[in-house]
Amino acid sequence: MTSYVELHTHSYYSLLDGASSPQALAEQAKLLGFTTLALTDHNNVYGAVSFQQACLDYGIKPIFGAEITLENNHHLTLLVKDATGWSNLCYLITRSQHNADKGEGLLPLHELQNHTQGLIALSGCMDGEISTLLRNKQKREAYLKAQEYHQLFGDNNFWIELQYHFLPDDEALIDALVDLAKQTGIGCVATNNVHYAKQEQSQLQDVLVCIQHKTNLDEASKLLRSNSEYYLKTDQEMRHLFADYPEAIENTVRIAEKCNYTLPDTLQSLPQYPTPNYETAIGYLYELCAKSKRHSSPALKERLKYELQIVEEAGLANYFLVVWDIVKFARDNGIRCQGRGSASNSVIAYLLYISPINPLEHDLVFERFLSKERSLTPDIDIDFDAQRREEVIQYVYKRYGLDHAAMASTFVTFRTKSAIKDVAKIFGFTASMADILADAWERYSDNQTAITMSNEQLQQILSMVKQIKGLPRHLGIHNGGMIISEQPLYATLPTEPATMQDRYVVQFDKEGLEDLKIIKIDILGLKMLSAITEAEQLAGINLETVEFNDPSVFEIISSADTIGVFQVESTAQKQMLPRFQPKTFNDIIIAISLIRPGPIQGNMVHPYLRRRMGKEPVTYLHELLIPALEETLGVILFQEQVLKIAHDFAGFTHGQGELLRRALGSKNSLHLIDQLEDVFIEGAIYKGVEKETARLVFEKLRGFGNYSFAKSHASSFAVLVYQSAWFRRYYPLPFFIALLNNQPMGFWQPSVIITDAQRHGIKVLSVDIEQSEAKCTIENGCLRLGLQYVKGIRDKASTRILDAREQGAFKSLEDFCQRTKLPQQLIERLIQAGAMDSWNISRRSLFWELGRVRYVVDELELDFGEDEVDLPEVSLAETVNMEFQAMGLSTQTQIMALYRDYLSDENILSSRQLAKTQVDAFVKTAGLLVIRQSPPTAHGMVFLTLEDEWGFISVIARPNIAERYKKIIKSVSVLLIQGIVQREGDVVSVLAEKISPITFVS
Amino acid sequence: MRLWHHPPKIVVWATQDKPKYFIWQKETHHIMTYHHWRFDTGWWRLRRLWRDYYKVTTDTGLLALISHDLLTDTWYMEKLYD
Repeated sequence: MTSYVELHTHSYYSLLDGASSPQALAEQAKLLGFTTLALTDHNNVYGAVSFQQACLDYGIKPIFGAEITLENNHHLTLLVKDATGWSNLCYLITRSQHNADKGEGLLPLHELQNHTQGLIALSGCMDGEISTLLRNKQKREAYLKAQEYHQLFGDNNFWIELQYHFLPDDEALIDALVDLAKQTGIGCVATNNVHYAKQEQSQLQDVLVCIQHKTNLDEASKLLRSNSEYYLKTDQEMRHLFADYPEAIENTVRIAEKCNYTLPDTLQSLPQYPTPNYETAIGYLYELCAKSKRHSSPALKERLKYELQIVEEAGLANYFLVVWDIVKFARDNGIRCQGRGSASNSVIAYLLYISPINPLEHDLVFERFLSKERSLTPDIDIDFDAQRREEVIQYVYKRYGLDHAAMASTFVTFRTKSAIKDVAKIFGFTASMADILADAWERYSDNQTAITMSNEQLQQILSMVKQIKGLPRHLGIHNGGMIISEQPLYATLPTEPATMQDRYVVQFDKEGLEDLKIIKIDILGLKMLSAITEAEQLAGINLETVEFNDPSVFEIISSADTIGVFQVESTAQKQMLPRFQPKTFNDIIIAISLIRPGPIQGNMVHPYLRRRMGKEPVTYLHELLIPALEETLGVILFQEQVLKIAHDFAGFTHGQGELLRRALGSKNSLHLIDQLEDVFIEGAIYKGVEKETARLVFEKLRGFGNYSFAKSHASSFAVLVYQSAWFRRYYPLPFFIALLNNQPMGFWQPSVIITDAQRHGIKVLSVDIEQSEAKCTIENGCLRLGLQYVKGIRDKASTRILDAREQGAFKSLEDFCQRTKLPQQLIERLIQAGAMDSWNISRRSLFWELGRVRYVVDELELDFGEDEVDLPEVSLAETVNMEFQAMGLSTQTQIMALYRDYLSDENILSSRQLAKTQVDAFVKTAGLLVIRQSPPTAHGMVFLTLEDEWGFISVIARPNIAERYKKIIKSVSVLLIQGIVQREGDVVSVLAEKISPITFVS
Repeated sequence: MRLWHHPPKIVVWATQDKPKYFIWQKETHHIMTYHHWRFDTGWWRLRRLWRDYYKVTTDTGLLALISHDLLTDTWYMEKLYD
């Protein structure tokens, strides 16, 4: 038991200043025998939730607070006594954050008025206002200021803070502060302004401070702390330091006793949706569902009744209305959207057009989303047309007000490479040396012995990198999670401006919000929705009428002719689809669920495919499992199947089944799983199942439950798979244009998409300054590349070209330069891309001429003369190379065509020839490396996809081969592979034995 | 004032990190008052400087700056104001 409480502690959420996590601080506090600890990060409560949890784990009482930076740049330590204090702290942090640059806080002094209730203030560190005045020998002003704070916070709520870090001026300052305290009758309290849990972490703190100030250690002397005394000190150490002022130690306990606030179970406060005629939320929700055009069958009506009952009991009717309102805004404004995730299990979500999936048609279980047994409030995730998502976000801000809506935050942490670069620089390395070190680390990271650094400083750097990895670097904005609140957010959660204009974030991340049971509505951007909308517009059709049962659409999916098709275009999918042969919408759901890390790790893929192809009998451990597993041929694939098995086989309610599923997916639920196993087996026996069979089924669930995939999520995505495949089948030109105009997205780079379009008979026209629009367009039945495909040409540059073109065609290069005034580098790229080929002047001549053209950016009046120069023609290889440099793609020819004569002479097979080659044959083949994958689940295997004029070549490199040719695989783009042909059905691959570069170009 | 480029080592008696007296030029000097501060820096130059400094007055009338290297537990005479 100690009689000192540390009341001034910074965690690593004092970004780039504190060095320890809240957990590490709580753990150290426990180790030192403390019973209470305060967390007072700079202008934030980012760490509050994890701090509370850590304190709970270590049996420590948490005190919440923050060190606020006032408008005059002085610090003030605030501690929360009660709920009012928390609310006021949130308000003050919000005001300070909104009054300063991102990542900083400056609290206007007047904001303290009326917002001090429930708070205790300490006068702050040596940068506190009173300490600063005393250090400047302004005793009278310090006295008056102390009185002012005393009045503001009230008796016993303002304390003079004493800190002793063995700095030269500390003793004098403490004496002066104690004198002032005596004169004013204000109490003194000792703190240590902790910035790291253990003394040895002071070096890490120095490094963080340097990164914060973008300086190096040698030049940072004034920014760094003079010594390493800012650690969590023991009761004994603090008593020793303040031996002359024991009351300053005792007062820490007095203050701690007054601070008794803990974060409640939930801080949820959703706004009430304004229902017409003061109808109840559940009543209005029912009305909306009943009126829905999708409301058709008696079965739907029955399910709706059940769901509404659960929703009413969970108090979530209003939540559905809020989400419906957002979706309605999008739909009313032509913004394509659809729900994803577990919400697709709900008929309500379907009827309200939140989800595209009728759960009854796909046998989806509502309890996977919401149940009586589940205490957690589920998030509803909605994908919106990525190009218009911002309109939706701004609608939410406008509808509920900036004080009531904000996005979840996320912490951007140090990754290994960025950590090496940052740390190396602060040790005085140049940026290029830091890059070299980072590259070396990356190259040898799998072989630590290779980095046996002899240099002691390098070892220091690497040691620091290990410590810094994973620490939060700065606050970011969550992908799309929005929080909406009835009461102003600042009353419960501080907010701050994000980097992006007109965006605000709450100071809790996704996990923090979940822990406080705050519902997040995920407003996500999905580029495939943008692409489908664009394809719809280009084709002049409406997808609403398209049914999901067209055999020719399934045909292209089954033949893996799927580049650009949502979710089924990857090499793994293309390997699987010809064996799978999807024939129905439900097959698509299964296909996109199979190629996921979970099912792959859970070894579900091959058993399913073998059964699908008739190579293995479809068996069930018990006939009661048939209804749940029939759709996946006896293989447990979907999360919803776990619920159904628990229900059908062991008599669980679906809600209990969901509890089981969640337990199976959690590492911390082993005890609960054991308990549920007993109930499961008992339930199965009651249904007439033999005990051993029941045990076996539970073991299967234990083995597969964790790896299963949400069918509801896959169902929503399957809609987009089908729709994009449908476009590819019937409207390929609009489809490819829409794909190219919404890059980057999906699996393949634009060069592969272009080649694929060409292989399918689409004529692709290169960029042309006279014909191209900013984006890709249809031109006389061909695909015309947009100006923005030239690297560096964005909205401004393309607008300049288009505006200039409106005044008349460009007469010459000089005319183009003078009218567009584009930088020379961009014009060079336009020439490289062939954008001026229509003048029938060779690209080389245009380059030459560009050197002579005078226009605004080249004001020198130099005479270059008019000498004619006889320049050699540009070869096809050079042309392709130029286009790749300018656009990352070429419309001329697939690059392997340039090698073809040489490859044929050397008996190196093309993809077309490879398809007809006998299995186990030793072959040589070559192609352009377009995809390199080494998934963690593959244990060192590397999968390469090469492309040539006719298609793709799949190459598998075993770990020893991948390691041997690592350098070539990582740095060479055209590869020669020697290896053995493998075949599964129509799917051919080469098991590499040797990999080498091809440098020959005809 | 004397300032050494390589400060000479001295023998200091201290209790609970508080220096009580030291020997300088074969004479014992009892410390009457002192002002104390601590540095911990330079670790990245592989010459970590982790030292306590004491500006002391002694019963013999000396005003001196002595230091205590916390890494090696060695005391030095840094400056002598005479």
